[in-house]
Amino acid sequence: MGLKLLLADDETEYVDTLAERLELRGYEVKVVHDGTSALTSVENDMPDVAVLDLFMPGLPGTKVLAELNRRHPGLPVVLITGQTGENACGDGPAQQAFACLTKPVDFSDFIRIVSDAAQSRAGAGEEESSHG
Amino acid sequence: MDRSECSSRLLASAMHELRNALAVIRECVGLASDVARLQARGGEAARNIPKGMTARTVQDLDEVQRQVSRASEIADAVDFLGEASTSAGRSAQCDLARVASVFCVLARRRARAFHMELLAEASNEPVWCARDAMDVLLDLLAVFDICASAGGDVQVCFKAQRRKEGPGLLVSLGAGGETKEMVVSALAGSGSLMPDQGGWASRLVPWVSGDTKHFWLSLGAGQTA
Repeated sequence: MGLKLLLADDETEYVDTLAERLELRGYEVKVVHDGTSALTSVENDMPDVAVLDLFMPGLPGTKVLAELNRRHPGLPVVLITGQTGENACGDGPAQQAFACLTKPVDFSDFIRIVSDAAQSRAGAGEEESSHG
Repeated sequence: MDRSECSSRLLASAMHELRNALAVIRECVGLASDVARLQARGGEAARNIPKGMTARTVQDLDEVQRQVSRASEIADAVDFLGEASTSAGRSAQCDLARVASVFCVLARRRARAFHMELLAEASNEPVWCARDAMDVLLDLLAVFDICASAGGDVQVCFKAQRRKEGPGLLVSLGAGGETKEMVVSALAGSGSLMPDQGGWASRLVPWVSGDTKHFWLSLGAGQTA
């Protein structure tokens, strides 16, 4: 089985189709459509990488990101947004993410960034082990 | 909030919505392409295509058509906004039904962030109002902000109408969540908060006394200058 991903986005058609494409390539994908479900999902089944929409109804991606950073600082988070301009990924909490991508995301770029994010976690884990 | 800020906010919301439509199109076409490639490869690759995936690609192509319509609707609304911004302050009148419809398309994405659904009820004929379209968009965004700041989570429907005192918009609250009563209270107390533009004072009042679901956004009367 490939990497385990959590995808959280309220644009259901988008995220469901993205998940199917990833599953065809051997990824294990869990899809949720709001921020609160994203937090619950991580607690129940820790992914290798969490991919969050920046502007979900209710609990937005930035708040989910902050909470995940607090609870699971080693979990890499990739943000996706349909918003552009300075307020999208430019500053603030989004800076805590591994990467912030603007929709529509090129699929091969997405795969590359998610793989890099997972490797960054693996690398951090090895470093911790060697120091421990 | 001035016309420029109103225009910027609506444009940002519309572009966000457009990017979402493009993202759906890209993934639907990508999935159809993935399946077609596996089928073309034949052998084990073709046999390993999950059951039902071929039917799914047909659905995806239908979804692409829906998303193209969605994107086209956004493009039309942005065109309208561009024209309204350019002619702001110089336009003598606008069709309130059209402005309400355009507003709902432009603000749709922003509304979703607050669990709000915006609807514009179709009108059989134009409801002309001696106001600039940009100013009416400004009023509608002010109504939206009142609802959102009170917690949102409500369906808001706009219907252009002409009453004896002039044209305006009937603002109806539909299904809502726990914050609906707060939205009602906020709208009920907002009459004097509506901006005064170019000598016209827009007012939001209960449709009839004691009615908590319907409000009247008065646009054609109450000239202050």
